[in-house]
Amino acid sequence: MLKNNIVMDVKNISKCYPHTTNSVDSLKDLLTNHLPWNIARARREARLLNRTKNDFWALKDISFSLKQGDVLGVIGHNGAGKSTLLKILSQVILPTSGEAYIKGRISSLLEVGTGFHPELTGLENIYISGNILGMSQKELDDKLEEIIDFSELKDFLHVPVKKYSSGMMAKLGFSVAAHLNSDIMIIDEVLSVGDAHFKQKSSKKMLDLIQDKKKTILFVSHSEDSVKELCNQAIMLEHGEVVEYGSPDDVFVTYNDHMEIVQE
Amino acid sequence: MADIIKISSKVNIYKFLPIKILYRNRSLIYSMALREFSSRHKNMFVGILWIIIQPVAMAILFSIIMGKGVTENYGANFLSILIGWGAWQSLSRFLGDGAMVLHANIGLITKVYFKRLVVIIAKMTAILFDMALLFIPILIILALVELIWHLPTIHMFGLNFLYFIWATIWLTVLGIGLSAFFSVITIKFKDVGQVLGLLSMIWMFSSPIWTKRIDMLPEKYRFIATYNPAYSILSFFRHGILNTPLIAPHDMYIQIIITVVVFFVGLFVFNLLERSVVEEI
Repeated sequence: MLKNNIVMDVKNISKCYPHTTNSVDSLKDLLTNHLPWNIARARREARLLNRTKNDFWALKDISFSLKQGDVLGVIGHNGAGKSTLLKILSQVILPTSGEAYIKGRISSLLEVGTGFHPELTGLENIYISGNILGMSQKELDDKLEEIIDFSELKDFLHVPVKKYSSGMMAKLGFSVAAHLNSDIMIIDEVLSVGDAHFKQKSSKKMLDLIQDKKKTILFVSHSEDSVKELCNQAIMLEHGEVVEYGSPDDVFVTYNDHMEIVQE
Repeated sequence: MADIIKISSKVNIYKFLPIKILYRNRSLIYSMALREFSSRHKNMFVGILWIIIQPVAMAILFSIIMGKGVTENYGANFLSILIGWGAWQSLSRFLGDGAMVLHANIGLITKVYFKRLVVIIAKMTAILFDMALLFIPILIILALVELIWHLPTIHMFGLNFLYFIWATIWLTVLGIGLSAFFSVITIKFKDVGQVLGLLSMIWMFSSPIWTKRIDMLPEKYRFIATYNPAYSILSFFRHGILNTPLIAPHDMYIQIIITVVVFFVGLFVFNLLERSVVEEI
């Protein structure tokens, strides 16, 4: 299943979203979707959108494998399939075909402040969000002080987070997430939070995490600097397919060429 | 050695009751239940006292409207309505809130993966917290009343109380099945959400909430009671405290079978659809 030292093996993962015109959401859809004029309309819309058989393939045959300590940067234009790939590997959604094997404790950081409830205080939310992200009560107890110090929100811990500014909320969310202790981390552009000082601090924290050779990381970003700085490999997606897979420098050459063509 | 997770399009249809995973996630269940419970009652002037005030007020209102229900004794009648209404409220929330639980946690389930059944169980736990906060003070007061005045209508001590616990377990099993089933079905078929209110209303009028029988239904429709597990559940709750008669064993067996079927069908359908419905929310 998984060869030596490989902690993530992704084999031909594809994701298809059926065209929504044909979806059955209600009794009305069930009764009317098969009417000739609705079938014709669905076909017309699909032709216009240049989709085959009315389906939209968000990912097509994605394959790669990662060893322990690898940091993979996932890049691509908006709608290239990056977030879909991350959601499949985080097990939030199912692939349409293909399979992936993952060895070790996995945590996904697709958004800062996951699980926060506006009515609860900062302290209560640290515990709840930490639990949701996969930390045990003991781990949270042990790391509580570190999380609070890192967030710089000691004086606001007993205030409901609905009274926090968006920057404060992001700081608290990042602080919890940055103290996750998992073997594999899936991160979707959460580095840039808070003010300039906190952004620098959070980038440094991420760098520390990534430099911990025991962790394997999948990192989605549009930032060339971040990917080149943090990752030892990169993958470029375009229309759901792998266009380039290799060192970040090589992949960004292809990416920048694509960008120039798009701009022209 | 670390566990190997396999991600594929196939759903293991036999793993619909993941007891091991739920046990491993017990701290998350507790944490989410607490989040649900605290956020529900936080920043209210009377706070958690609403859990008691609301059913007591309803019981007073229904005692006045319905008059004598279970016994000739007004106190016992009030208690019977209070117990009936308290248990019914939990049951109807299992159905109503349970059906919307995935919608309510959309920000979570589309961002982080954990067994979605955790959300259902956490919701059930929060509802049970509410129910416990209503019943525990009532039980303590009744136990004191029985100790001091030895009222014949109250039976707080002895084996009768086991019926109360049995009713709570039955209520929870039925609630999990209903919530699991409707939480995914209301996403797959959005119309079901509209029908649920009506279903809940029909269920309420065919359950003995205010009186010990479903007197509000016409005679020819009363056979429904045989197939309504709420009938047994409410009867056990009342029997546990007021020693009112239990329903016929034949009806009870049918209702146990219906509950077990609802539980397993609910979990089976939930397991089948839980991952695919996330994309449809």
